Amino acid sequence: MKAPHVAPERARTPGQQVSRAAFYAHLWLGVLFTAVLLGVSITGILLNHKVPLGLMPEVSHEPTAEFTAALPLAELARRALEAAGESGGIASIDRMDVRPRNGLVKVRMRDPESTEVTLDIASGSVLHVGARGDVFLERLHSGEALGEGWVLLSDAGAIALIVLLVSGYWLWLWPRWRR
Amino acid sequence: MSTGHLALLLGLFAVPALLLWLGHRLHRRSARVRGAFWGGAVGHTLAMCAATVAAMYPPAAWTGGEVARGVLGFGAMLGGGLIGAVLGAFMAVLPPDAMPASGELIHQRKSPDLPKQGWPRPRR
Repeated sequence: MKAPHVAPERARTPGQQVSRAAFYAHLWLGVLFTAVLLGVSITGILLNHKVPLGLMPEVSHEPTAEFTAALPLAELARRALEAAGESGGIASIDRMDVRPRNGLVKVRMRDPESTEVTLDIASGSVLHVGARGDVFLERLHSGEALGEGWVLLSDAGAIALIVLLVSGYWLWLWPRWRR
Repeated sequence: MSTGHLALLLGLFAVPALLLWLGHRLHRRSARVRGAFWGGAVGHTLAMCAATVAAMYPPAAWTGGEVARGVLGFGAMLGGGLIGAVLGAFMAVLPPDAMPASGELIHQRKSPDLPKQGWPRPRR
């Protein structure tokens, strides 16, 4: 029986070997990380436009008194909890973001809606109560929404994107360089 | 790692890797494999869109016993790819003009007059 014809292996130059590796890296990483990069890109676009999209409330405010006349944090927290209708005490608060330049404090709750109460730091009056839709998107963008350690997924996506860019440039420019 | 996370990882990486492997020298493969490849690719792409939309749903909109969001977000890409591949492989062995008539498909497939491979091989 006649043996099947096998084409002899061509000797490749180092440039050709790199091109071949770049092609397969570009192909495999492009396909494997499509879904990850799609998710990261869409959440990134939404986060860039979170104010116009209504994901984050924009409260414009001017200071009503000197910063030294601001109410204590504990009092501001109590008022925020009352405004949000939270009964869990101080443990219901995720963070307090003080903005001395605007004379306000943003108190974010640890509920599914990520409710945020904006208060005047001097008078303690409630300026705004609303959900922060961008908190979950941020967690999804980084991979934290899936659980602890899942940030590695977005890290892998970022590394894949770098390899895709480098390999794409190589595949584009290398044939032109050789001419 | 939960079952959902495992399904997500398989859908994210194993299904596209399998499709890449199937797509290697596709024109030399059988009609069934080509059908599985195209079915899987279409199914996985559609499922990826559905999973992305499901993932964007804010937690405030979730309800207590909701299953659809979890199934779509975690399992759609695995399920979509596999279901698409199976459907594609099944449809590939049917003649093109017999595709929509679901009631007659089995009868027509068994007919000796019809060609076994429904999809034409591309010119080389």
